[in-house]
Amino acid sequence: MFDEGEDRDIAAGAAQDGPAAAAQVSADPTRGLIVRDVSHAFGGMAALCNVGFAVEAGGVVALLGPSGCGKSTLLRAIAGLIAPDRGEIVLDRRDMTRVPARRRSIGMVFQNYALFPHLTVAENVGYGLASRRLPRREVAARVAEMLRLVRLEEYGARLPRELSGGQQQRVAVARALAVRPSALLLDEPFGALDRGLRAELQDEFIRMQADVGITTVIVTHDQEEAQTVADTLVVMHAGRVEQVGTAEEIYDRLVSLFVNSFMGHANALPGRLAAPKTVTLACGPSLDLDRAPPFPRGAEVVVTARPEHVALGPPGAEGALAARWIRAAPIANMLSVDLELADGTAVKALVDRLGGPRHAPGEAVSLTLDTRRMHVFAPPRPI
Amino acid sequence: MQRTTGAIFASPMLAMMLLFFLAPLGVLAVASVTGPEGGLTLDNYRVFLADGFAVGVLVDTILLGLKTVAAVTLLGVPLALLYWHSGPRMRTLILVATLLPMLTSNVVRTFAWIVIIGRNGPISQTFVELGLSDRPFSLMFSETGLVMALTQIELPLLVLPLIAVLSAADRRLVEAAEVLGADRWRSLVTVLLPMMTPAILAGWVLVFASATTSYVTQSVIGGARLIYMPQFVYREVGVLFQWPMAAAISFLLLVSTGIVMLGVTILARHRRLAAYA
Amino acid sequence: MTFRMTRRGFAAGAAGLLAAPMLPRRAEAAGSIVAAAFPGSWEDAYRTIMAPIAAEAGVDVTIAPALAQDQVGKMMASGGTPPYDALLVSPGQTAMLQEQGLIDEIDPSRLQNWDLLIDSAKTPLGPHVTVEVNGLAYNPETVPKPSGYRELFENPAFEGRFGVQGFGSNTATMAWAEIAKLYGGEPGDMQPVFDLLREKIDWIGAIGTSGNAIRTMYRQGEIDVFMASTGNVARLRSLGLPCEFAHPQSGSPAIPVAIHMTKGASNPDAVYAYMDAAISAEAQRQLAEPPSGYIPTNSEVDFTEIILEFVTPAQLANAIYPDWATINKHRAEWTAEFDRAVAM
Repeated sequence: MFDEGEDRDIAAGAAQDGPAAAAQVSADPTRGLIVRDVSHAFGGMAALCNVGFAVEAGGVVALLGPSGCGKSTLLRAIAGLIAPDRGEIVLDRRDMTRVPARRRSIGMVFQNYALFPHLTVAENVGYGLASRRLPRREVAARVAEMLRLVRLEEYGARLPRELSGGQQQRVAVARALAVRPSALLLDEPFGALDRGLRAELQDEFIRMQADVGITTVIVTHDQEEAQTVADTLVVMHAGRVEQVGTAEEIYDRLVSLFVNSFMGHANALPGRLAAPKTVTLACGPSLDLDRAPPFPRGAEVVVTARPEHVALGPPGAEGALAARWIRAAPIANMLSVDLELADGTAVKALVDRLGGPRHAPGEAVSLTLDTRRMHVFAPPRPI
Repeated sequence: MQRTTGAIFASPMLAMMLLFFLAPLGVLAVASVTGPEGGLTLDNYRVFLADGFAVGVLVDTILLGLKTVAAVTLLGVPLALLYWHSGPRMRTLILVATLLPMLTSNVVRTFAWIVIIGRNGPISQTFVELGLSDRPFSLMFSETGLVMALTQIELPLLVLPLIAVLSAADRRLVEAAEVLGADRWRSLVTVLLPMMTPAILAGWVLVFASATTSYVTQSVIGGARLIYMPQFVYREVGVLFQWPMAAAISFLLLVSTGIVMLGVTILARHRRLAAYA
Repeated sequence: MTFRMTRRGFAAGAAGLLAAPMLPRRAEAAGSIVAAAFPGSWEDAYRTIMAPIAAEAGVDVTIAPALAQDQVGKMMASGGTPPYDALLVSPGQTAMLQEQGLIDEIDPSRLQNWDLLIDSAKTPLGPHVTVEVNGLAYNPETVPKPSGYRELFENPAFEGRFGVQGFGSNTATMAWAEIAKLYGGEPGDMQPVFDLLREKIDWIGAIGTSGNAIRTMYRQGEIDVFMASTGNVARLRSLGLPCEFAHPQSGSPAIPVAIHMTKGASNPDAVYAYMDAAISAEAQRQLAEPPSGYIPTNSEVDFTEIILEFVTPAQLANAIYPDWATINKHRAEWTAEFDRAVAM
């Protein structure tokens, strides 16, 4: 299928009807977190632009985007660390927009955790409880409970720097959850961990989140992580929400070239619409599409195809693009192949490792794009 | 390999220290235990410590250092906090205002204080104009005046390390406290102050060392009635020519201020503070 | 002209700079010496008046400011390589320097102006260049003219208005010796002064640690009377401050100031030339004018207007010259006791 229209209009549309989006995502629209029409600028530079999304109570949403897209700013606005210029933030039916951070009842896990270095693990976890002036005994009991939850019972008397990165992350989560917040915010919580540990802690986080059942917003630039941890993804770009949906919805129904290239790899081939259903690629050959994209004839377009939708064949195959084999790397039972078209455009293909084609670097091959699974977008506007 | 290379590069420094610091200190130590006939004796120390007046001067000197440290802290920490909360313009202003006095000599600043705290100075006149005092008064030759002058003169020694620490400090710690429900006071006491503590302790050592040994300010503002160790030593050296005694007094000053500074340094080594150091 | 510096040149220059403190202190130019002078007005006067006159005689004089007592201390610490070639001190220090063998007798025949000196200025260890007459400096706009030391401690008009110094200062030492006499002390007995200090400690306006500190107090209006030499008064007047000199009824203590040659002076010829310049009529005539107003020891130089305003030759003849041997014997003990008497 082909996507319709120019990406930004859709994104803005999605953002502008926040309540509708909320209804779409949330089973119980009266609970959970709703961000509506939030805009914010730092010294005249727009950081957030009419941003909106919703998380149902107990749901996990991931704010996904490259660095500088505004996702951390949005998280800080939800936490109350910045007051947005415009818009509304509603948590469990309470309008939080003007409530100071210290009274929002939100748990936050900071990037690099921001544990208090001079306080022990137990004191860190109990900090929020002590701020609420709970009796000492109650604090101690809750701290012990939280340390049990993150399996750090033995570590209460240690200082943060005496813990490993993964342990520190769990302390940060325990500290955020200790105060029984209405929502949990996490800023790149797995960013500082190495790959193996990251996967382990992501699993543990999912288990724990399900146990606690807390409304959660997680900021990440890693789409794999977002897919693993969150039910709903909010893809952000340049201070705007590009697309909201489950990982699968987004993967299959891309609204923009940006989302396409950000969610997994997309081979982008520039071209021109020669006929309603025909694109002449910049590298020469034409592709016949199965549906007419909504652009006038002669319009510049970008055709994208995922690596798994690229098939390889012998050189000179009919209707195929000539390419050269550059290198290949195995991924499970697949082979990721880097190719180069005649005009130098790089293309990635994902083929079967066993029984698939094998070539030496530099050898000529041909590639065929699965036209039914391709997307056509307007070319990116220069920013 | 890296260790030996480091040692080679550090060797000029070590040689300097040996030649220009430890060697003279050794000479001083030997002089302090040399009797009039050249033999080894502890008489100089005995005489000093048996003299109630002299011991009083030593105690006063240490108290002066502690009072200055307290005053500098009361003034410097809020100033550093102002720096923390300020925008770039104000930050530059605070930094320049802190650094500027350091560009003039201690002597000049001391004489400026004579004008400020004198009978016809702004402090006295303000009090008279406001009706807080019946007649002009002078803070010259008073410990109050001396501590005031020393506070201003030594202030940069505390504020600069604080500014250095705060410029590099992780603001997210304060945000974390805020999100965890801490009000301003709680986050000041439980997050900001611990964060500043190593710099405060470093500043204390500098201020204490500087205040207890600032001969010019002590003698000009304090006058002859407030006697501190540097004047005492100078008297022995330059008026009475009792050099072994002067060496012994210097050593006692070194040891007693050294103990205070060692205490502060040990405090700074506390494991809870190690992360900020 | 452009200044070009090669790396080699820079290295040599830098090495030279670093090594400079280790080299013999004095430049090797012919006739160049280091002469000590009291900091403040003496230093200024000698730099602006004496140094040029000595330069005409081919001597390049570097004036190094140092109090009399500090000159003694530095000489004692120098161990055979004196930091100065010529010293400027008073009899108290002269006695100490002589006792320690740190100064040499001079050969008067080397000084052309020697015979022009008044007799009292000719001493075997060097010529007196002036006599400082001491008394009380006061501010005529704020306090009455004090009749003597005793009045300062008894007339309420002076309560809290006068400043004193301890026994580190020659001026103060002489004043205290006079006060001790006035309160019944025998020579060498300072007890009446310490009793007085203990009794009247709150009556005294300021006790300073140096002459400069006391004069700063005066300029700031903190005090209106202090123990001073006529030179001090002349100096304050030249700064535009109201200041008068009062001779104590009991007599004005006087103290000569002498130039001595240090033992081991690098260039005795140049020191002689410098001494000769210091007692020359030309130099003393200029030094007798404001702002210094130093009383001449060269018989050819007349008392100037400013000097006559403070001291007549008759008053000078009646001046009191303290016994510095007695003072030196007790100075340490008096200094220590003074601290104890005034300490808060």
